[in-house]
Amino acid sequence: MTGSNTIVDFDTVHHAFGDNIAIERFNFKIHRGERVAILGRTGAGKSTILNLLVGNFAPTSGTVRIDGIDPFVQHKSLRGVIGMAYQAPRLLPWRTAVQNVAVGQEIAGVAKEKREANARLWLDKMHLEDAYDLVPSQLSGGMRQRVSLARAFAIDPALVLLDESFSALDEVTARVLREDFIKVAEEESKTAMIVTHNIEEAFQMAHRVILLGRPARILAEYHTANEPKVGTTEFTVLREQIRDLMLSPEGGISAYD
Amino acid sequence: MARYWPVLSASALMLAIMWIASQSFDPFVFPPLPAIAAAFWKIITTQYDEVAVTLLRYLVAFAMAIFCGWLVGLLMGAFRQTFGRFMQAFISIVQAVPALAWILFAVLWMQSVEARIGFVTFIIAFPFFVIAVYEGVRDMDRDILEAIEQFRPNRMQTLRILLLPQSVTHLIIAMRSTAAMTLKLMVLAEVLAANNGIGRAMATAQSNFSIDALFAWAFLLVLLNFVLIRIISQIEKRALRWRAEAVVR
Ligand SMILES: Nc1ncnc2c1ncn2[C@@H]1O[C@H](COP(=O)(O)OP(=O)(O)OP(=O)(O)O)[C@@H](O)[C@H]1O
Ligand SMILES: [Mg+2]
Repeated sequence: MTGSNTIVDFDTVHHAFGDNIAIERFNFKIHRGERVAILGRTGAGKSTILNLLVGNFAPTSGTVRIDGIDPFVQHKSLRGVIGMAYQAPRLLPWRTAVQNVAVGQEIAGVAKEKREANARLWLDKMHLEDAYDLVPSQLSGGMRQRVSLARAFAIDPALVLLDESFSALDEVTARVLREDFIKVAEEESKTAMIVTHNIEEAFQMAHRVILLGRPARILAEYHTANEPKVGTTEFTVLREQIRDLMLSPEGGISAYD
Repeated sequence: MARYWPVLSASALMLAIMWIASQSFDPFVFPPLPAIAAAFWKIITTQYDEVAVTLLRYLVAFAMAIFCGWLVGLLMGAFRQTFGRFMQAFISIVQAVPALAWILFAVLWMQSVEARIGFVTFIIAFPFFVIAVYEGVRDMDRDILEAIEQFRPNRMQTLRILLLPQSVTHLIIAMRSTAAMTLKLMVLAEVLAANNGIGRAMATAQSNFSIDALFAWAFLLVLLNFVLIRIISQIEKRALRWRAEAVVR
């Protein structure tokens, strides 16, 4: 299983909440070492995709696999396979940065000395070498989010999931943090799925950008290597096209707007 | 020094009022300050065993209330819909019974002085800890829980990593508001239901018309109260260092 080149595999996944179709005929793969951004408006089904990925519920039909594991049926087997960071840092407020980062390996049964050494290593990579023993209330918002990213990385997961992890930060902090994340992900050749509603963020961070319509189905797919670089005038044009697509009827007229 | 001016000036005012009162009233109603000081010296040099008895009782009963409150609160959190809801109703009834009623019941029900005082102290403090722990567990941050559950912990691990530290936090906060009140009510219980301890010594002083001793005991209780609050705020400062307020201070 681990030998396979596919980490995430959604095969004709369909999911409905009652009459409300959240995901329709969704086919989607992420390959080892690839970073894929899922871009979509509110109600597009991003959270539903994440929930299916971490096995919070099973799809109405179709199959979801992560590294060959069914996340819902083999819930416990997914231990150590996914590392996730959220919009808020969600740290344990009474634990130091090191203890927070070590929590994944702690649950996996790794000895204290070993897991804390590993945690320090990841804090170093996230440029927090001076914050080992500080608690969250002593850290800035950006630093807390770094701890949260280090926590996701520290279990050496096959897949790193980011759920709007930079949207609560100010733009300058977010930019630096994105760059640091990319650098670490490259060095460790990590597979990542980045859920975001921010077009620049998606194109800056991912090899591939999936644009979701509503209900979640793929409206467009971009290989960022073939697209203009973020910051250029050509990119601005692309961004406007994407924005129009997101705002079009297929992009999702939703009750939430 | 600047930090202490409110305490110092308030104490000075209190002493001044007492001094004026002692000048204006009969010494049998309000003894002069030197007499109170002498009586204070006497009780701490000759009746320290009464003090020790009270403090020991207090420590044991209060520790029991904390421990049991913690255990029951956690169980309520684990079985929220059944045990949790039942205990919540039950505790609210227990808490509605006046402390004085518990003291009188204890005298009727129990022969042993230690059992009486222990029971009263326990029944007063216990509900506060149960509710504090239960609410702490119940109001746990769902987002943080989800962030921990992403690593697929078993129930024991969730308990150890999340619920225990969370509940200890709430225990310590509850301790601050309960400790002093429990001590005062315990001394009251001793007045009515014990043959030794500070409460009993005060009752004796009162029936002997030793007004200066009564004042001295009251003064000792004020001191004990301050020491207690001081100890708890130290515990709080140490154990809850991670809280933003504690860090800023
Ligand atoms: N538990 C649920 N019960 C009923 N409907 C749901 C539930 N969860 C999601 N939905 C519906 O599924 C659709 C997709 O929702 P989802 O939460 O996945 O969107 P999203 O892309 O995460 O949106 P946002 O950007 O606002 O977080 C929506 O129409 C929503 O109403
Ligand atoms: Mg969502």
